[in-house]
Amino acid sequence: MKTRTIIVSLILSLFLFTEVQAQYKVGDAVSDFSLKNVDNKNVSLAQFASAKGFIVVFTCNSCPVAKKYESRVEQLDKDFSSKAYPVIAISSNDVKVNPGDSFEDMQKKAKSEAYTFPYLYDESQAVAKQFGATNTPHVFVLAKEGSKLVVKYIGAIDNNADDASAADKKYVEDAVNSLLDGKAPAITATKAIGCGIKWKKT
Amino acid sequence: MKAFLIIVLLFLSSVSSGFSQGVQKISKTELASILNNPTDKLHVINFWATWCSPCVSELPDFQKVVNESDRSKVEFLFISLDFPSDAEKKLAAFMKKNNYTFKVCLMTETDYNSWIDEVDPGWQGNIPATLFFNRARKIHHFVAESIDKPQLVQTIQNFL
Repeated sequence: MKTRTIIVSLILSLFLFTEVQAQYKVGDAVSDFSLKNVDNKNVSLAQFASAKGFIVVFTCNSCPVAKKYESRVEQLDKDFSSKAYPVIAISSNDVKVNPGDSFEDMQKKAKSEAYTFPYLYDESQAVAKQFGATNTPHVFVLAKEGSKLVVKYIGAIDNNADDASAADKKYVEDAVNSLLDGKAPAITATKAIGCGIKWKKT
Repeated sequence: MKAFLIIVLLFLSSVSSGFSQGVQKISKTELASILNNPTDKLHVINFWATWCSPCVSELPDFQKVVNESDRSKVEFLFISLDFPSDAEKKLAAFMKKNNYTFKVCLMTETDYNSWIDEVDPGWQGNIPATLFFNRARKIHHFVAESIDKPQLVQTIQNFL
């Protein structure tokens, strides 16, 4: 009996562990989430019935690298939301560590920048953990395959944070254009220097 | 006469600021050769930037540990990932203001994806990050988060 309980609890804990620490890789199917947008309404991916996919960007107000990419994220939404690949921006930073990343500050930023995309507050950090996001900015390009949403690209927006005009590898743009052409992206994962997501101290 | 003095002063100030702005640089190739250095010595490389507040917060402790360490056994290098557009201006001023004497180099390769994996395959590029290694002894320990002083001292002790 005792061993049975142990085995059951082990299996349960394994299940719980994988639930929390999904950390998607390219090719994985994504579970939907529901997070509060800057307009106080909850947003989930299922609401975008006509979307072919998404450009999910983990970002924040305060990170200097994220700031460098702000206008490029806005441009991605302008270029691709009309092609059914909208940007979904998510901020997961702990407000205690970075006070400039509060929900109120996110609302101000979305207003002053006139964001055309949702800017969601991942207060519990569960969605960042689910995706395995570590940095800001950190992009996950998702594509619909039947009823599934599959990860097609993970990483940086392009290869020059400091100077957009000097970037000669536009990873996210290229990945989405490939997907729109019905092809798999040539580059599926990249890395870039960025701010670490500010995790809650446990 | 006055105009002449002003010109001389302007010239002198430009020369001196030119000196103070001198920041040592490191290329991707130079980093790779350090990473593959086969000598039996512990290397500690910290990746940081003046724009990264948790990086800046841990530097006073790093400077203390650099001062207290036996430099014949452990070598420190601080690689700045400041943006090239303002690094010359910010980095030297930052070092001077804080009286830091540790060795700092500005990374010139901004195509980060081309070298991050060489530092550690598990690193996503988030800073602060610190690498401890000694190729001769096959030591490779990578920490992609802030380190406090006791932790830093202990880690160095473990690998000496």
